[in-house]
Amino acid sequence: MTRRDRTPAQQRTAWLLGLLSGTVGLVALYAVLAVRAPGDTAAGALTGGLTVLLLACVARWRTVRRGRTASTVTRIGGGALDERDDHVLTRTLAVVGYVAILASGIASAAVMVGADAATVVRALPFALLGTLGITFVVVDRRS
Amino acid sequence: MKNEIRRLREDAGLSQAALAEALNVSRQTVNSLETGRYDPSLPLAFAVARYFRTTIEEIFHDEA
Repeated sequence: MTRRDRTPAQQRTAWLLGLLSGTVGLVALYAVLAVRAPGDTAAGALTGGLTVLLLACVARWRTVRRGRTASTVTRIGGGALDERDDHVLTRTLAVVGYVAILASGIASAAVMVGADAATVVRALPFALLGTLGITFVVVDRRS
Repeated sequence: MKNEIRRLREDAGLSQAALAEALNVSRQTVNSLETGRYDPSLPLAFAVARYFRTTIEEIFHDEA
């Protein structure tokens, strides 16, 4: 069953499971970072994670309230995709996956030739998030 | 893919939002279909044809 085949009730259930999984993962991450990471890392991760979860809840609320007049990103965040939204999301994630493979190879090579490993590891998620944002906008506008 | 969706919609006096509601897709999807930026899945193509009481070949034109 693809995302586009799901009924609204199934989409809502999938979204709730995603929210629950995200919350559990965030709590686990906070617990680990609070013990092992220096300074305010745990608090920072918790703040960032709660922001993402809150945005997902806002997207869900806007999707329920505005229905099909909500934006593509709102419908995706709210778990109420139609087939074009699914197409945009799938193509975006495909590009991000491709870039992730390349980026990890480049990162490994950079570390081997002397780059600071911690810096490279910290930079990778931001590079991929940037790729995600740019690719999403391009694919959404072209589809 | 070029298509007649905009003409059929306007002839029926429908807004993009109204057609989107009838087809259970977003207004953006209807807009993308009309401008040819997005080609529908087979189920959606059949739904469009069924809604306008015509055939897929009458609505969508293969550019090949």
